[in-house]
Amino acid sequence: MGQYTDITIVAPSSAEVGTSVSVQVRVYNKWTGQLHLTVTGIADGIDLLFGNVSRWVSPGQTSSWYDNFIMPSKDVRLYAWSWFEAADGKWYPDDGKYQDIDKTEPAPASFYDLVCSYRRV
Amino acid sequence: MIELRDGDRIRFTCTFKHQGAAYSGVKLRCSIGEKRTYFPYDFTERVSKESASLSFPTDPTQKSYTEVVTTDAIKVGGIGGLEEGYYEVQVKLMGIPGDDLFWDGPNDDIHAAEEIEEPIFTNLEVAYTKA
Repeated sequence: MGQYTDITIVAPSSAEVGTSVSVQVRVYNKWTGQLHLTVTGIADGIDLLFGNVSRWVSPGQTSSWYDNFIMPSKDVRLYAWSWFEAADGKWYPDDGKYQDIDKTEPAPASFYDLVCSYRRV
Repeated sequence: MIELRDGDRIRFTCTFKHQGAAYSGVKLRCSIGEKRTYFPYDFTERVSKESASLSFPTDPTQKSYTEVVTTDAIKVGGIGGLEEGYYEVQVKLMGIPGDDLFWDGPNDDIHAAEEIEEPIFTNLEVAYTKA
């Protein structure tokens, strides 16, 4: 639990190797005033910047940040943090959470529905 | 039906679907030949062309791919060329898991014909008299 915010990670609990994993981080402003917020994360050593977007969130409101990454061939622990801009103009981390995403192997390759046309050139 | 003359090429446009794990080393082989009309219906290639080796990424859901393969210029008539006659086409997707995937064109859909010489008129002579 953060001092000013609570975050919720919305991501699948498993993902197929090589596929894009969509990550949503919902940030709830539990403070009494507006907060200038942003989100960062990390998955398998790759920084998630959520579009480098910061925005003002009113008290009691929730705002969402989105990013994605390619699922590697191993399980991943996805971390995300909310950040707020303080009166001194600096950014400070607030709430942080993680979610485990298990890898699943893709189905074996299959090919089908071969259809052709041809013409003289 | 396609009328095939000496020096023509045939361009095949093939679509197929892939789903599942990434895979490489797949080739399309496009052939013109003769299909035996009785069992076993073997196909005897007379002209063929293979695509470059194809690779596919992981496709969690079915994804359609299109590849174009064009034969070299086909010799019709003469030594080593296609005899005049009717032929079929066959395309196979090779190097995939399991059996090759085949596509057969309609019977007798390609007619190979040697060039017909244009008629030549020569030696025009004219005589004239006072009438």
